Amino acid sequence: MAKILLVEDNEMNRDMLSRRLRRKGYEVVMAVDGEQAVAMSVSESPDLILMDMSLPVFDGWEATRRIKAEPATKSLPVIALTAHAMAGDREKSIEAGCDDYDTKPIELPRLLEKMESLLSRKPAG
Amino acid sequence: MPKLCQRCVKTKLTRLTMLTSGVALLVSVTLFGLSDAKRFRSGMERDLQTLADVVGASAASALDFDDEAAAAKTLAALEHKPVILRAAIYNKDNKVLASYARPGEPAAGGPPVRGRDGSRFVHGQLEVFRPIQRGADRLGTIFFLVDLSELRELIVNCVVSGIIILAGALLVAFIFSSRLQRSVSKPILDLAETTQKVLEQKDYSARAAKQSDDEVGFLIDKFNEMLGQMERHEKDLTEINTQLRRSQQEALAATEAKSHFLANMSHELRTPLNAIIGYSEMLEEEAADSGQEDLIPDLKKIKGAGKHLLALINDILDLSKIEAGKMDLYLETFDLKTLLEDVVATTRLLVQKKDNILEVRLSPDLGTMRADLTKVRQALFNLLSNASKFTEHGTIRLKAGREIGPDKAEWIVMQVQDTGIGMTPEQLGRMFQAFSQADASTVRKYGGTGLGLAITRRFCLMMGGDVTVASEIGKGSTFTIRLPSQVQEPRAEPDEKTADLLDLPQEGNTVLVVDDDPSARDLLKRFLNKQGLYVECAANGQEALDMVKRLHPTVITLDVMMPGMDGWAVLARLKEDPATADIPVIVLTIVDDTHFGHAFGATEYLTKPVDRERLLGIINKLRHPSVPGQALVVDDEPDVRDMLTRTLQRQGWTTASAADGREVLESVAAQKPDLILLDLMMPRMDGFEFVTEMRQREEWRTIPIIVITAKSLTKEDREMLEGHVQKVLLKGGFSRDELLNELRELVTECVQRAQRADVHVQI
Repeated sequence: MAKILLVEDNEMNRDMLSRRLRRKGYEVVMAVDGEQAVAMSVSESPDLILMDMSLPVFDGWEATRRIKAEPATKSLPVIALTAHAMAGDREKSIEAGCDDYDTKPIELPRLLEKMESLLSRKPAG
Repeated sequence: MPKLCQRCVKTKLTRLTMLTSGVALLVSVTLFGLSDAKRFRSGMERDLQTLADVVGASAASALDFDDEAAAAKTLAALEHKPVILRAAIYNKDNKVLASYARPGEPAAGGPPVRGRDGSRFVHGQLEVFRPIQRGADRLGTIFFLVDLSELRELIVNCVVSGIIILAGALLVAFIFSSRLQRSVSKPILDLAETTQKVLEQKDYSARAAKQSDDEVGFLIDKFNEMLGQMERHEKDLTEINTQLRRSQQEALAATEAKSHFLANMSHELRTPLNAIIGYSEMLEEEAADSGQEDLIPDLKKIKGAGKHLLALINDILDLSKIEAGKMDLYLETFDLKTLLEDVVATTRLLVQKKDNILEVRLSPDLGTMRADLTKVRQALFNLLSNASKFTEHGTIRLKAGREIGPDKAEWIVMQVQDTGIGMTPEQLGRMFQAFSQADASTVRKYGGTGLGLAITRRFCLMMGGDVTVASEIGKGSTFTIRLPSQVQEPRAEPDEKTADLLDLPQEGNTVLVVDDDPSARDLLKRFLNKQGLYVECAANGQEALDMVKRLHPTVITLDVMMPGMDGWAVLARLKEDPATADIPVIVLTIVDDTHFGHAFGATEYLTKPVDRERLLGIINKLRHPSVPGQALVVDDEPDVRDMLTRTLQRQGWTTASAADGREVLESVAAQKPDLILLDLMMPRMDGFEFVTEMRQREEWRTIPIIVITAKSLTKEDREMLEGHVQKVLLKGGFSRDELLNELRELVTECVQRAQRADVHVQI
């Protein structure tokens, strides 16, 4: 089953989303800030990254840019998650290199659909 | 004025005194003179009568004998009385017995015919006829003619002395009145002076001095009392004004705090709500998995309430933002049909929920519009969800088209019509007011905040349009949104700050220097000014954040050690806000912690004292290029290619052109351009393929690409291009001039962005 790197600084959101994803059968690893996210994108070699945008150390946009700039991880699909839901957020995320975008609060079926579409495009492994 | 008045009162008082005393004196002097003269005259008459009697007595014997000589002798004795000019004695038969004339007096004419007894004035002289008697017998008559010059002299003397007395008395009166009038006029003049002082200096603490207990004293007392009242009022007013100013400042501060609070609120409220909604959803799944079906309805209620709360929060935040003037317009040109289809897709479920049918009728000439995409989308969504909420087993119609207004302006008209419950005229009146759904019970029945329509209306107004409604109870409602097809940027309030901004070089390079030390700021500002850079300064973190929003500077130099919000906090806030995250920040500090700086998103990190050459080097790398570079125009139509090439050349670009994708790749390989203008429909390799190729080469990724196409793009097309090209311009959606203008703007913008990106990010 696919391995998901969940990057989220809010403990409750992290716990909740990770449990829901695990129940759906995904393997979930977690990072709490942008720096850790970049490090784990290499060390854990996940199949997909769910990236919160407001993160400590450096934010999700920056982390995504770094991941996409690294040849080893640049093809990793990244879905941006943001609570802002502001005009321009989507564009900004896409510009930073995110492959898709979803707003919080998470609607699991919608997110799963997006994840599956990306995972099927780039088969795990 | 006051001088004149002083003279006035004094003169008037003196004149008054003089006139009164003058008249009184004149009257008394005249009366005295007249009575004196009368007394003198009667005295004189008496003397003359006595003399006449004496002379008559001595002439009596002469009369007895008609002795003229004796009579004449008697008369001659009158020599000693120089007053007697003439005299005569008449006998019983009234014949002149003897006459006399004062020596030197002409005797011409002789004595007059005897007249009546008594005395009378004739020609300024006095005639006296007096009988000469012995016992009761009349012996004859004696006559005197008296010289009155003595009397006249006396009268003249009397008049002269009268005048002298009058003059003397008046002089004395003048001297006294001049002295005495002061007691009256001085308090009045003092009062006048005080009034003047109060008026001129607004000094209500001044008081007029009271000098007497008379009416003037009373007036001064009342005047002072009045001043006292004015002084109290003035003090009260000043106090009230101070309070008002303080309250105003407090209110402003509170508004500011409210805005900040709202901004933070958005995130802070949504985070716990995420957890509530998420956990309830999770429990719902868990309950389903473990067969505890009975729990599911309750969990669904928790989730539903959470979502409702989230919608409420979103609406309230939106409305507060609009009302605080914090809602900005992000204008962009977009395809209207795509937007409408998108909204329809989003609302389809909502519409079907109550067994409604959605009919969409879009006019074929919809084309593009320039507006705030998100707000148009939300306005439409609100109307559609509103219609679905109040309609059951009915039809909802969405119509959209273009319309030319009376002023020749083009309008986009979008209409949502339902066959729902409709509204009464009273309900219609309250329709667009915040927090007032048609009926309180509707909130319970249909849910929602009642804010959706208020927000929709505000959005439309912000964009220069409006939304109207027509409705009939039981039959349904029709909402119509009208927006200008080209929404204009809202005109900023011309306050001081924006007035300052007008003087700024619009496309220049602005450096924002943030430092709490004024001398450091000044030094840096002067140095950078010399380098041809426009410099603005901020003295603290908050000011810096405000100015960044306002100026959107090219580069920020940021001091770390600042009181209050320090440099790191400022940096974090800048990077947090999407609007400011891409502005390069050069951190200046005495603490050498480069790693920390980069971790926070600083573009460069310099330790103090600042190496100016290094700073300048960095800024020069970041500033907008003053000379454009090489542009590559790719289009298979030679005419279009020419037009675009010429436009770019006029802006100072050097250009190369290519007719198809493969040719471009070769051209790019030969010389890397700074900008590519790309047509999508081309032979051999089309635009899409080209973009894909380009983005696979690391060193080509940073080249900005602007797509100019006549193709109407599908959703898939857009998704494919998104993130890879800077902007898509539709040939059909613009006039030639508009297209060129838009292009000019975009080109400048792209290069600036690429320039920044080059330095700190690899796209």
